[in-house]
Amino acid sequence: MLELKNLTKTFYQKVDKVVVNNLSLKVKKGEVFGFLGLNGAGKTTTVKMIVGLLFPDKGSITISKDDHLSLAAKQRIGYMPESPQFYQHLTVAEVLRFAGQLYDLELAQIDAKIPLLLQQVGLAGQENLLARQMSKGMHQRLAFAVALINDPELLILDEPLDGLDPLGRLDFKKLINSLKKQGKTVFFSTHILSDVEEICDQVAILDQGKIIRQGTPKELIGRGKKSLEEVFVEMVSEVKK
Amino acid sequence: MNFKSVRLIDIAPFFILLILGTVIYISQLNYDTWRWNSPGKIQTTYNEYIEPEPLSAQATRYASFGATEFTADLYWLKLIQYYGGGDPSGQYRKLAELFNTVTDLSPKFLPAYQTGLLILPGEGFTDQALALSQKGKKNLPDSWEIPYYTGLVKHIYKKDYVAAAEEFNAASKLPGAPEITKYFAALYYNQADQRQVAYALFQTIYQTSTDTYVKDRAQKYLGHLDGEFALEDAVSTFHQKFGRNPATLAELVDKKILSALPTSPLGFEYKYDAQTGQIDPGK
Amino acid sequence: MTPSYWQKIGVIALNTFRETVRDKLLYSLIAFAGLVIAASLLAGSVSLGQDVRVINDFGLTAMLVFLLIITLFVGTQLVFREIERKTIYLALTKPISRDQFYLGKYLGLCLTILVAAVMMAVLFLGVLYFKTKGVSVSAVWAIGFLVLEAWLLTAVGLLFSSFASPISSAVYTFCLALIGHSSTSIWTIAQKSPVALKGILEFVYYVFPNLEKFNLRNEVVFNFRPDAVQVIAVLGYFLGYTLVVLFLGGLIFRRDEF
Repeated sequence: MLELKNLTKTFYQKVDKVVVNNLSLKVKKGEVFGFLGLNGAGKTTTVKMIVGLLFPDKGSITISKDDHLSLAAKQRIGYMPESPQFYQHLTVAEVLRFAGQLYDLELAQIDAKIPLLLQQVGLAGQENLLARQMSKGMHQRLAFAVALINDPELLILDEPLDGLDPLGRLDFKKLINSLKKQGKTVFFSTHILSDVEEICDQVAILDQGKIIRQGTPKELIGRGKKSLEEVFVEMVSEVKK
Repeated sequence: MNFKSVRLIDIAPFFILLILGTVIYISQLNYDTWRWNSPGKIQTTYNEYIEPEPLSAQATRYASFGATEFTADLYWLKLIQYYGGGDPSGQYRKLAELFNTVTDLSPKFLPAYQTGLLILPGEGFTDQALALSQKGKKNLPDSWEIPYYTGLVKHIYKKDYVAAAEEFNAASKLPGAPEITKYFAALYYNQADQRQVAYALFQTIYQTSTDTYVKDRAQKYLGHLDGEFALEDAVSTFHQKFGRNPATLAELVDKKILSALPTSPLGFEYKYDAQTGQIDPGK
Repeated sequence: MTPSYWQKIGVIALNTFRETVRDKLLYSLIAFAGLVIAASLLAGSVSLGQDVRVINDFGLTAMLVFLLIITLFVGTQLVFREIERKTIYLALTKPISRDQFYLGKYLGLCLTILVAAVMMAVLFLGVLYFKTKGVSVSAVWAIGFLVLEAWLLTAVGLLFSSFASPISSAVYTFCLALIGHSSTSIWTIAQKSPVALKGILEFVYYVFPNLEKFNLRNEVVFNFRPDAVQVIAVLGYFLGYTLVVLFLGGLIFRRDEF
């Protein structure tokens, strides 16, 4: 479904920094793929390259064999950014209509979808709420609804559980599981390891722009370890040495 | 609003603001009074009349960034305030310059030329008014008003009746000029002793005018001039015959040079100077 | 380019319009413009009978100034604000090209300027009607050309904002507006200058936008109406210049990273 090949990205500042270093991975159709890493590991940069906000210096990104920047590829994706923001003077419904129209959906289609979508993300009845009146958690929920508006085959979520209370996180995890049952592919980046353990089919651990380990949560935990968190800390410390 | 629950601390900010506002007002008033009454050394231009210093028209045009008419309006308002406000010296030294700046920025601003021609000569700037008139004629060649007003200036301030007549004549040929302009031209030519020209003009007016008053006046002037010419011819004939000028106009009739003395349809009395033999057309 | 291509541009444009029109800054500026237009009545009353002329000149100049301010404050900040607030992610990650987004933004701004101009025009023509009991067709033409000028400067502001900070973009756009209105003076000075300077000034004259083409404000008081040739020439210049500027801005925006 999603394939990254030899992806490299350098930020040219006072000191050039290679943020993503020859990264390759494959995400199968119907998989929930967790992209783990500490802050500054290159997760968001990778995600931004997939959705076309940044351009890789080297390498390629394909979505079902289409180039990631093609309109066909973008039509298949639903994206949720890290710390999402919306136009301050638009209401929840207006934001969803705006996003939906960019996917070539008719207004009637979008309006029919809105109540169900808002219910799914925990914003039922909030159609007329202005974006500037929403809390951080509500921003996350609306961003998820925007990502789902076109019923995408592939969901790219950047820190989707950030800013949510425990109940919100539970709801989101349930939602991701139900999306998986529907055959959707989910690629999400996070630094919250317990969540990854519960819902991911595959996990890749990123450090300093490189994948240091990839596998199922069970494979990564292996024998003798209690949690993915222990494994993660150990791996990252090894790399730093 | 429950007034009983209002505490002093809630309303204190308003009182503080009121007190501060009063302090500001009193200080400003005191300062202004001190400046007004201070000896000359302390105050600089506060009480002095500030003469406008308009930029040159070229500089103003560059600085107006395309808003030339708007800038002309600003200078026009400035001019009105300057002239209307009163120059203590009574000199209005910048008046002509301001009119020039306005008309350089807005060459087709007719009222500016008109007002300039009315005001400038009265303040002693007749030559500047005439220069303004030249500019106006060049920029507004179809305006009858400019030569018309110029004619008045030349009559009143330059006492040049021929020049005034020429201006009125020029004005009368321009579109929209009132009928009476041609009549004024003829009058001025007459006044300037250019009676042949005046006669021709009056004749044209009589033949072409549709204004009853003007036509009637032209006819009367023609009659008056006819009388004048007839008397002059008679005096000349008398002189040829008798080797001297007639003592009085009546002698022309007595000596059978004229059958009767002509009377002016305008009601003027023809006066005669026996020594020079000149006919004074009278007023 | 399919209907859907233009529909998406329309979606971006309408969204931009909605966002700017709900901004209180726009209404403050229009209110100030209204005050200045109303103040022209006062200026006219002390103009020795030239009140209609003064109202025309003051009103139209106020409209130009305020439309320019809207272009500077709203237009140059638009893309920068979207990037800063990350609202740009909402659109650019959808199946829409960078060009469509850029053009949509431009058209949305144009719509905002048009609405602002119409509101100011209603105030201005209302004041004129109050004085003259008639509608000045020349003034309507002048306002139409003014809007074209504002749209051209919007494209310029958008171009600058795709690579410069909002303040720099505003300053550059303002300077360009001043140069544009000095085009006649630049040409006059060029003809009197030595060869090297003449070349530079003539280059400036042709390359920088010649905004005097859109200036009918000075002719309104003389009831001037443009003829067909002039209108076509001005429209042609507007379309040509604006498309070039949009194209350049679009090229830069295509390679921008967020």
